[in-house]
Parts: sequence; C-alpha cells; structure tokens
Amino acid sequence: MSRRLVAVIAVIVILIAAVGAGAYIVLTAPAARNVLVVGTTEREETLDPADAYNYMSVNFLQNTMATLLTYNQSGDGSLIPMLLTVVPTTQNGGISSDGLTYTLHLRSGATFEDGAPINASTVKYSIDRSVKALLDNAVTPPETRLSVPSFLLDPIRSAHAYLENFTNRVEDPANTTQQQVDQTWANYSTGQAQGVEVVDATTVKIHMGRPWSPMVLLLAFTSLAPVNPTVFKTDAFKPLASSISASGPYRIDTFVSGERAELVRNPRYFGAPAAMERVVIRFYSDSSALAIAMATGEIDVAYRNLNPEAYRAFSTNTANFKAQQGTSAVIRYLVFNNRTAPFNDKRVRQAFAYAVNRTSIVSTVFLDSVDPLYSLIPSGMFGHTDVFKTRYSRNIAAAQALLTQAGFSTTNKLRFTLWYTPVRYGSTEADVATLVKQALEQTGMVSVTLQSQEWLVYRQSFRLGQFSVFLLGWFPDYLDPDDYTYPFLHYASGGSASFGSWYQNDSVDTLINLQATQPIASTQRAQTLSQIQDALANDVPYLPLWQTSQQVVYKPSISGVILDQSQFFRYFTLRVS
Amino acid sequence: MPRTQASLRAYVVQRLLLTGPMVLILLTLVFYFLRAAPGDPVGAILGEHSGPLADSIRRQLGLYDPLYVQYVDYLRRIFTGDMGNSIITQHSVAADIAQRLPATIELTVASMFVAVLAGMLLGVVSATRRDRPADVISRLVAAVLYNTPIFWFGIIMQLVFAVQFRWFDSGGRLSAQFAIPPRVTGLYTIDSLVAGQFRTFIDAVAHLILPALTLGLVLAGFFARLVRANMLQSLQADYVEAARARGIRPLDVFYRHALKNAMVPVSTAMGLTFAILMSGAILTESVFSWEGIGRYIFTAISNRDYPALQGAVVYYALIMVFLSVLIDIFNAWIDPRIRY
Repeated sequence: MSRRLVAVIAVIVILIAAVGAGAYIVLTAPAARNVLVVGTTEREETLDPADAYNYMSVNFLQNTMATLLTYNQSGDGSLIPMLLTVVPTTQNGGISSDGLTYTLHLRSGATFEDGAPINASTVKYSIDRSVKALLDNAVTPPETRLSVPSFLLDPIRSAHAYLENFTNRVEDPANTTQQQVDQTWANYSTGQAQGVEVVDATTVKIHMGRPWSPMVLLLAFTSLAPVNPTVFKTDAFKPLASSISASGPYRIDTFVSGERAELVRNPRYFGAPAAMERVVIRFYSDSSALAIAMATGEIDVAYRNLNPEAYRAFSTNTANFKAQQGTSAVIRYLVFNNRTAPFNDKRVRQAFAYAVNRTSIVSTVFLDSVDPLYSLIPSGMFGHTDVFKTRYSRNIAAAQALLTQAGFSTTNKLRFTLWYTPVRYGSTEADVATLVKQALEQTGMVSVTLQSQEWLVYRQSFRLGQFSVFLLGWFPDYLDPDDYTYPFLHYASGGSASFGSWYQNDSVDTLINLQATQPIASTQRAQTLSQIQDALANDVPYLPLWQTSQQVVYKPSISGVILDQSQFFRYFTLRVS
Repeated sequence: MPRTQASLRAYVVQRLLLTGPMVLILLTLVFYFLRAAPGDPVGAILGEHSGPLADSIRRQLGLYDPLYVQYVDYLRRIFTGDMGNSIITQHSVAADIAQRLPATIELTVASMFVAVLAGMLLGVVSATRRDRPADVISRLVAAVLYNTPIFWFGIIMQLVFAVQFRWFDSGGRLSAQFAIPPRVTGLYTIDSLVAGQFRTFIDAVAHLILPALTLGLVLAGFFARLVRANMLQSLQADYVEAARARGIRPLDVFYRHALKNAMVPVSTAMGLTFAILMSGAILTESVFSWEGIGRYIFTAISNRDYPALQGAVVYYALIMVFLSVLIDIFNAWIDPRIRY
C-alpha cells in the first residue's frame, strides 16, 4: 500500500469517528427545555419575608409563598382568602366591633415544600419573627440595611412598646437596658397582652394596640406570610442562596443573583397549580438591554422597566408584540420645605400649583404612558378626589397675582434650586425637572436652577432640610389611602419631617388619626379623606404631578398577563400557547 | 545552560520577593484612596438614620480608631479573607466575588484570545505590506478600533448581530432554555463539558462571542499597532538581514526570526492589557448583562456600597499583581537578557 492510500484511509476513518462522536453527543444531549422566560431590570435584595421590602424581593415571595390573603386575579384590587378560609370583616365577626381583634381562620391541609404543616402556631411564629428577627439583625452586622418592614406591624398590641424600646436601646444604650427590651419582648410574644394569640390549630387572633383599619391589607403582604420554622430562624435573616421552603404556586429551583432565577411548579401547593411547569426570570442591566432582549425574542415577557420610547415602539408593532399597560399606585410629586422662606408662605406654594404644567410632562416626557395626578391619594383608590384639578386649573395670571402678593415681581424674581435625583426614578427625571422649571418660569417672576444628587446623598440632604423644592416619588407599603396621607401629612409622628416637608396642620393630624379608625370603605371614612385632601389643596405642602403606570410587553403567544393596582405580577398565570 | 537556569531561578526568587512590598504598597493605596474619597461610609449605609445610631455603628466599624489601627485591622481582614458584607446584597463580599469571578475570567480570557488573534493578524499584514494599501487599511482599522468607545461598540454589535441577524442572544451567559451546568469551575463553557452537556457548551460559547468580540476587538487595535511597530523594527535587524543573505525562504525569515523576536514586547504588553481588559469588562458586562465583577463594581459604585467596592478593588489588584508576576517570569524565560 502506498503511503498516500494509508493517509486517505486514515483521514476517512477519523472523519467517520468524528461525525459519529458528534452525532452521539448531539443526539444523547438533553434537549433544550420548554420554559417561559421573563426579563426584568429589577433586582432582589432578600428572599426573607421578614426583610423583604423592595419590589423584586416581594415579587419572588408573592409567587412562592402563600400569604394569608391575596388579591383577586380579576384585577379589581379586592382581597380574597389564600391561607385563610374567609376575609375577616366586621360583618362576619373576623374583625371585632371595636376594631381591636382580628380572628383568622386557617384552611387545613396547607403545607410547605417539605411537607411541614402550616397551622396557627406557624402563623404566630412568623408574625412574631417579622416583628423581632430583623431588629436583632439591624445592628449586627452593621452594614445591614435598616429599612425593613417591621414598622408596619407597630399597631399590633405590645409591638409598639417592644419596637420603641429596641430602637432606644440601639440608639442610646445608656438609657435603655437589655432587660427592658427583653421584658417588652416577653410582653409582646407570650404575656397576657400578647400580640398574636394561638386559639386552636386553625385559629389565630391578632390583637391590636389601637384600631387601625388598613390592617386587613397587611394580611396580604409578604411580611405576614407564614414561614417554615426549620428554615427561617428567629435570630437571623435567611441567606439569599438557601431554600425558602415554598408554600405558594412555585418553588425556587435555581437562583443565581443578577443572572437568573428558575421557578418550578410546587407540587405541594394547595391551590390551582401554576400554568407553566417552569418559569425563568432573567436579570438585565438596564432598560435598553431589556428592550433589545425583547426585540430579539430571547425573552417572552418584559416586565419592569422599559423606557417610554421602547414601550411605544413595541406597542405600535402589533404583529410581533403585545403591549399592555396597567394602573400603578406609584405617585410622583414636588415637595416644598414648608419651614424655609419663601416656601413657608402658602401663597408661593399655591402660585406653583397654578403654574405647573402636568400635561406637558405627561405627553412630552412619558409619551402619554402615565396619568396626571391631582391629589396625593392616587386615582382609582378609595377616597380619591381630584382636589388640585378643581382648585387650580393652569393659570399663569393667577400664579403671578399670588407671587406679587408674596412680594415677587419680574425684576425681583423668586430664585431657587430645584433638586432631582438622576437614577432612582429612571432616566426621564432630568427632563421632568426641565419641564417643571419651564412651566414655573413662564410666570416671569421665578428663576429656577436645576441640580441633582445621587439617591443616597439626596435622601440625606432632604431629610436634613437642605432642599427647598425637590422631586420625589412614593412606592406604597399597602394599598390604602392611609399610606398616602399618614406618612406625608402627619406632623406629630414625624411623617412630614421624613419627607423633608415639615408640614404641620394639627387639624389634619386629627383627621388622619380619625380615618384610620373608621371602617375601611365606609362613607364616613370617605368624608374624612375628602376633608384631608381639601386641606392638602389649600396648604399645598406637596404638589402632586403624575401617577405612574406599569407596562408589560410580551409575545403574542403568551396569555395570562395580569396588571392590577396591587403591582403583584403573577408568573403562575402566564402561559405559552 | 546550567548557568542560565541558575540565573533564571535567581530572577524568579527576586521577583517573588519584590511582590510582597508591591502588594503592600497597592493595598495601602487602596486604603488611602477609599478613605480620602468624599462621602461618609456610615452616612451611605444608614441614609436617613443618623445621630446616636450612626455613632454606634461608626464605633463598630472602628472609624473612630486612629488611622494606623484601622490600617492594621484592614490588612488583617484582607489576609484572613474577611472583607465584610456588601450593603446591597448583604452577602460577604468574598462570597459575592467568588460567585462572579468565573464570569469575568471567562469573558476576559475569551476577549484576550480575540484581541491577540485579531491584533497579530492586522499587525503582521501591516508590517509585511508596509505603506501599501493593505497596510493603510489595516492601520486605519486598528486606529478606529482602538478609539471606539466599548459601550457604543457593544450596543452596535447587539443591534446588528442580535436584533438584525438574530445570530446570537443579546446578553446573558446562557439561554434560559438551558439549565446552568453543575458548578465545578463556575465557567459555563468548562462546566458544561465536564457535565457532558454538549449543547449547553455550544450555547455558552455562542453567548461569549458578542461580548468577547466587543472587548477583544477594541483591544486588538492596540495590539495591531504594537505588533506592527515591533515587526518593522525586527525586520530591519541584522539577524534578519543575515538570514535573508543565507537564502532562507522569506516566509521562514518572517515567522521564525522576525515575528518571534517581535513577540517579547507584545507578551509584556499582554500583561498590562489585562488591566485594560478588566476595566473594559465593567462596560462590556453592563451592556451584555454579564454578571461578573465588572457589573458588581459598577453597582457598588453607584450605590456607594463601600465594603463591596473595597473588596472588589483589592481582589482586582491582587489578580493584577499575580498576572504581572506570571508575565515577567514568562518573559524572562523566553528572553535570557531579562535579569535584574
């Protein structure tokens, strides 16, 4: 045989072997999985219900943990039972007539992922843990964030004393002893005046320290979701990477922070099984990366946060994409420091209410994807009235008249700095500030300088009273008018100070206290809220600007997308056809 | 021959001995700059909470200690691997970095491969066809690449190859359709092969292509200029002249004699380029949603996540020191003239 022939045979043999090996590998390799892919720019911070307070953390928990109540899937924002058998009301005896006791009836048979039962003592354990565990963690390690949702549980009986003592102990160890803290904790958790009481295996009573009607909404919030005591310890937050022992429609299969999370149907879930076996959530760096991923078809659903231009482009391309917009309870507004001149003069603030141009912001910056807002209570929520619309239609002459009364003129202009923060509220913020400036300067009596600071510094600055006028936004803690009035306008509790406005109106404080005790959707409460909003429009401590919307873009093959005011984005209803 | 080996050994020992002080100087600089920078770390951590609480936390962080006590504590913590906890993720910084490092290594190595390959190609083409159209074009391409902003280039790559042609995904390290391979090295390309998941491997490589091209091509411009300059120099050297005179084939002269010698400065530059690569990785990782150290540093900076930033910078610095030692030793090995 010639060498040439040997070479040819060798090449043929190698080729056949290579092709065979390749074919073997390809044919026996696991096939690509059938999954539904959701893209987002949001990031989780924790997967511990006692600690979860940012959007994505809560969202993961909502899809994996059963809460006591939940929001109706029809999107009307009404509450329905989840772990409970019925939504407590005064009519059915779930809420006592004095508003001080909530009796919760649990369904039987609900379990965690590992089969451990969810019963009355689990519920007590979890609520107590939400009051306590986070605070122990707040000091060690010191780097830990302090914005944990424990403060929401303050109205529960004996919780207030404990939380207060604990905070005092942390802030000033000399004046509060550890013994005092332990004593108040014992009072809260086991004493005669305990907050959460186990009645029997399926009945729990929550005792309130004061009547507080929004409490029923908290039953749908993740910080009251029962947790598995073997996984969630009282003395520490759960590390992000470990199992959360799911009780909801999905369980977490893979979690690589910043890269992807994979949710798999939870076989032990007591409710209707999730539509898709597996949902993958992919994390993108920013809105443009998310938009590109949607355009290429790598993801099936893009939820939070596309910029307005991208959303508009997708919504006009109806052949390839479906775009859906829903209401949101996030509001944006201008804050006045009510203590510093000249903004301590009501007439100046009222003049701004006449001069501001909401429609130009809504149409120019947001391409009409958001709605103008005329009260602090968002439109669509119980008690909302369009107070600023009725009182101040845009009127430059009226603004000029008020400014003249306050001592300003075209030669003696009101000069001030309008502050904004460039990242937290998205890339649109500088444009908004510019439009506010333009609208105010149309009076000819105002001269605005724009300045910005990064969020962490910004937050410090306004709380120290260093800004006179600045842009701010509010992501609600619970969907109730209380959350849009109490923190903003209540002076005695330090609410208005925490917003850098220092608004003080004692009659408003009284009205706010009153509405929290009135039945949640009653006409009396609506009246009280209306009075509060009248005072708001008269005093203008804040200038409401717009109410954001939530937007989702998805492939036409996807169904089951629900956008409602609760902001609860459900993965378990999504389906690929 | 034994003499050369002995001198190489001496060089390596000397080089390693020098590394100690070098690391110390580096860590000192990091310590100094992070403390000299404006902004109070406790204010950044607590935000609205100030007063007595901030005071007690400053005490816990040791910020009231004299600077030398803080410094010693800082060094102790680095050498015990305890970099504190990130404010944002709340994990230990060391664990955060360990999780993200493989992603950055995968990207950096692939980019280096692209950079060297494309750079050499352009450089050699230029040098061999000096002042002819091919040279002019290569030089132009190199200059354009070298001056291209990575951020912009990355987005253009996405728009062309991901959105327009749909050849690749626009970002991420793996398609959602593939499960992440069991972690061995954390490099998806290697882990998928270890697990025998061939299709996952192909998918991981496909996801590497766009970011590696983006980062690699920008650096290729730099290499092309370097290779060209060095090639031209060595082509004029006496030994090349001599080789030509002996009648050795031009191609052999070129590759065996000229190119080999031109590579010494290039390989030195490769070490330095790793530093540029790492900083380029911050932008590339952001554009391609590539969850590595670059993106971690980016988030740490924008959130004033002081422990995370300090930790990541220290790790970066240590990696750079390690690489430069490696490159120096490699150079000393290929070029016996390099000695102290």
